[in-house]
Amino acid sequence: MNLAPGTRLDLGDGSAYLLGEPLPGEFRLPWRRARKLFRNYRHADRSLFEASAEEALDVLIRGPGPSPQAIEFELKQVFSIPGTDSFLEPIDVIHDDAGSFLVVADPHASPLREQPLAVRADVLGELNALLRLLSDYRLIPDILDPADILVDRENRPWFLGTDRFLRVEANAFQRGLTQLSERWDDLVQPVMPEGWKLSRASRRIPGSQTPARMTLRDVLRKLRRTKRQ
Amino acid sequence: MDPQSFLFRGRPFLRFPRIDPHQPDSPFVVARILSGRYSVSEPFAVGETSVVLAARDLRTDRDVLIKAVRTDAILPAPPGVEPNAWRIEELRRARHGLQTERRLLVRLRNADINAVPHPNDFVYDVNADLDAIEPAMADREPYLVLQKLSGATLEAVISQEFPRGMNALDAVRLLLPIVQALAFLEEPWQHDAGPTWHVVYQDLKPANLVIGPAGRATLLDFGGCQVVVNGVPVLAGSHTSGYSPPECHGPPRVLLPCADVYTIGATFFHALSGLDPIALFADHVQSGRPPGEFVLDASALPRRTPPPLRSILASCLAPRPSDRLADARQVANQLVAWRNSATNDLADTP
Repeated sequence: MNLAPGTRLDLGDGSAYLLGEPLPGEFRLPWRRARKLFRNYRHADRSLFEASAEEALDVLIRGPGPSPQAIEFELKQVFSIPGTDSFLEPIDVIHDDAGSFLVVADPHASPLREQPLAVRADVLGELNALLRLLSDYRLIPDILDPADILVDRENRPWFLGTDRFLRVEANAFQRGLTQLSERWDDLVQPVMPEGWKLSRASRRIPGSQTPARMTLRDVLRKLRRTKRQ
Repeated sequence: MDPQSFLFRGRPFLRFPRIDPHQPDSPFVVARILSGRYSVSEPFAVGETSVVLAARDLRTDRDVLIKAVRTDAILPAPPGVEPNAWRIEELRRARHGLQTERRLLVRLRNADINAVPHPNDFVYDVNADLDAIEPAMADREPYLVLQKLSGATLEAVISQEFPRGMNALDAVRLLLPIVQALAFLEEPWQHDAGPTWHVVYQDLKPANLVIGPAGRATLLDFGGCQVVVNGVPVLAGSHTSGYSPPECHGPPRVLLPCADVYTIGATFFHALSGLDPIALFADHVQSGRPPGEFVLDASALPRRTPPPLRSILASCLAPRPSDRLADARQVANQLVAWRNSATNDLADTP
């Protein structure tokens, strides 16, 4: 498959994408910008026609790779975890002779490294909660890289590293948590001053005692905590 | 609600005999698998002119919501109008409304505004109910596929956890991104092809806000927007009495962005006081007073509401449009200024 900017991907079922430039950053798999093209209905002749470019939706496409099985694991086991809104919404999967591609929503966000220090600290706090949540499902990342974290203009974190997670067996879980602590340090060191620690409220990484999912009660507790501050 | 299954053109379809619990005769028909990809399970929410279906995207293995036109909700033709021609014209309008909703969501998401649901797809399939009326139209039924959000509505959050109202700074932090989204939505949209759209969201209320797992709000339902193209109203949209300003009552008219300003004030009023404007409106009407004379009184906000914020909200809730802040952008700017000063005050507290 030709992945040059300007290439059109027609999936044959009415779905079409127009490929754009690669997303800047060092990712394990390449990301590129793209636009999802829509069709409109013309009542005069009851026909469908392709909407103009200004009606196209900005998306991100990752690939080629990993394998179809790995993407299936990612969608079923990682994206499906309830209680987080830090993953990009998956909107399509494309299997092609060049490999498999995942299409997700484009948050129009910028890298964590480019944020002010206070924003980085807040984002890392949220990411820590996300990692604790995932560890409750025995999902441990094989690497944590600041490049996988984007931040939008509302300072909301978006985590691109959903392909980094593996499910560890129950008997290897404690070792997995230890590795997670080490990877957390790898993530924090390049973006925060030496000696920086998370606030006490969200410090624990090995989080098997956290609730299995964020519930409305958790959200309200968070709001109340804000109220007390 | 158990649907009936049947085959149409060799494909499985579902018929929900009564999709609207308030309407005994409200059948709705949809393909079991839409566009070869979305497996429909059940109605998720039912509106006056549209229905939101719960479905599964078989390609990404994710739950999604699918918005569709309610063909059963088309009103009967007025006297002297040929019923089929009337129905077809009303369906054309409804489909155009769904397409417009997609355009608005795409515009917002492309402009970095992530506080609205993601429009995942827009597909067409057969509407078996229309086949007898007009087969060419039956083959082009549109469906807007949306991200399914997790969380609870702000209405539920207020009722369950803040019955006496929220802290002012929390409410501003929660609602400011929504006010900023409205500010962008209200900006005139000059299309490449020439026409200019003016949009008023019109139906801001806690029931249209979902609070997600991290405590962020997402604004739902853009089907209620008023859209004016080159000065001509093309979508009337809808509003909710209690939250909507006096000018929404009475004969239909083109609303200005200051109508959204009132609904921002009303939503803050509910969040800060715990008092439900719908119930206050019902009391007002029950006492025999005209609906158009109902306004929320900012002086009824809790005494703990900081005076500068109270003043901003009073400027939102002015009965006369010309006495209000002009648009959501002005409200957002004032809220940002207040939030920054309030945050600095907190930081300065020893």
